[in-house]
Amino acid sequence: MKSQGTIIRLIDVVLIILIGFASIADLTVRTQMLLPESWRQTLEEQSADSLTVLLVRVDGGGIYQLKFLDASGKTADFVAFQGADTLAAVLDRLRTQAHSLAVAIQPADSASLQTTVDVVDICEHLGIPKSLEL
Amino acid sequence: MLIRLIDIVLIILFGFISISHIDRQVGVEMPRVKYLPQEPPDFENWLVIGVYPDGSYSGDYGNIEFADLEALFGYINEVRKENKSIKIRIRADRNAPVGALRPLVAFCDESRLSVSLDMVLQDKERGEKP
Repeated sequence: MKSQGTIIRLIDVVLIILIGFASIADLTVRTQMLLPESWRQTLEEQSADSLTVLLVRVDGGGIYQLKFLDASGKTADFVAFQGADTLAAVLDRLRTQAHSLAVAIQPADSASLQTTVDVVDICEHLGIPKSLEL
Repeated sequence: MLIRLIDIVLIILFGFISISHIDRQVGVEMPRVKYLPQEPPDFENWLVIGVYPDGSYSGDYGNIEFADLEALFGYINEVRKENKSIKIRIRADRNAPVGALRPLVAFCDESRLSVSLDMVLQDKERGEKP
């Protein structure tokens, strides 16, 4: 009887340790993004003739400015959007209109990392080749 | 019967011990992504550099603070002398300015150091197919 009581106490100790480790276990899924050479090569691998490159500038206030880079040297003015959702909708529309679209991301020094990574994430979701200038 | 239950509990305990991450937190909230492919960060030969929202840097999970970029680059060079195959993992806060990452990435590029940016993978939204 005495030994059973001891065993039950040991089980309690083990359960407490178990719950302790369960509570501190980090179950977040992490990923990593390689920089920067892999990003330089992304657009270079595409055929320059058929590629429509869209320049996306990320400003400090979470504003995205878009401009097409024309192979002939003519470029349109920047068009500004705010919010990742708006940018996603615009890129989705442009993707269906352009034959082969690629995005060059140019974050400003004051742009936050999250707003910059949001553009990368959107392009990944839409299957648009992208490059990140760091 | 009781011994078997104890064995089960011990197995579960060791399982949680093996997956728990008991290093100190840098104190940064990493950027969140949904669609980038999952690539578990390397856990060998890495040097973690923390970047805070104010643009300051830290090493060794916040134990080392760098007064400026020169101190940071000197630290990286010192570590590299001991381990030539070291890789740099940038653990930047999601609100850290990109301008704080640029000189670090440029230095790693010039030094031929592999550098990656850590992020947290969020759950994808339903119906995510474009």
